[in-house]
Amino acid sequence: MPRSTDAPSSLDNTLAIANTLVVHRRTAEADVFLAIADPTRRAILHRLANGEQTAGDIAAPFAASQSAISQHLAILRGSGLVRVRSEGRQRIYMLRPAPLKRVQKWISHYERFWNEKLDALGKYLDEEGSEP
Amino acid sequence: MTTIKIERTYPHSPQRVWRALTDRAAVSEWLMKTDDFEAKVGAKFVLRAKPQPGWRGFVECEVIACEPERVLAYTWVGDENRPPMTVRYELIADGKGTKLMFEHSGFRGIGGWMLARFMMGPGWKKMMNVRLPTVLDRADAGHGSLAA
Repeated sequence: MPRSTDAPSSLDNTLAIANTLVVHRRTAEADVFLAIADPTRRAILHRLANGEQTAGDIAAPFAASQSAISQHLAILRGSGLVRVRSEGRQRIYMLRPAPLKRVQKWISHYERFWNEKLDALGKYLDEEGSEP
Repeated sequence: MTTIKIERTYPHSPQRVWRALTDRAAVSEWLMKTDDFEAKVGAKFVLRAKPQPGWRGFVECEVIACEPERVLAYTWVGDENRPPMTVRYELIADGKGTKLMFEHSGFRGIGGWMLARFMMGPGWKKMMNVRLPTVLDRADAGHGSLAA
């Protein structure tokens, strides 16, 4: 990402990049939201957090049909949370946690922000002169 | 409602803490610059910081609760495309000092949902703190094909 300078053209450039980032973030958020809104898909994510699995392994503990599980896996792949690779005749699924990390980062950004600000409030109070 | 909660105790009277929360110069010092804050329900004001890539650099607020030395709350719109959030400060006298109970609420969409359903629970913490690093370590060691 380019550093912003005082040149107007570069500022416009930065704003354009910012807008692009915002649009991308929204789209990605919507897909991740859809992906984790379903309990079966959340269960699949938790299983994959322990390590990669074949489609058959993933479907085994669920009452749902193999084709229903395949649909869940397709949605998870669409969200970017899960990747698949082929090994011989098998499809191996693995977790790709980056999109979840991004959301976690957004929230922890606010937690950090307020902790810093409330520290600054304490410092302000300590340094402020006399009692009212 | 999904909320970040923080508690602090300051060795200062509720009067002093209240003043720091409601005086423009004080708020500009510890939080963000403001030249139109008013401790009055319905008052609209702006908090300004440096714009960053992906953030416009100011927050639009409206006071929604104001009970001197007790409660101050205002809406918080940092991005015109997100629904407003709320920031609330509650002061409780605590010996010679003041306990501040701070809340930032209104995280909606994916963030709010995750905060409420996953991130506060033990399952989520285990996933983010124990399992994911293990998966990432395996990927770093070349035993998987995770893209970070």
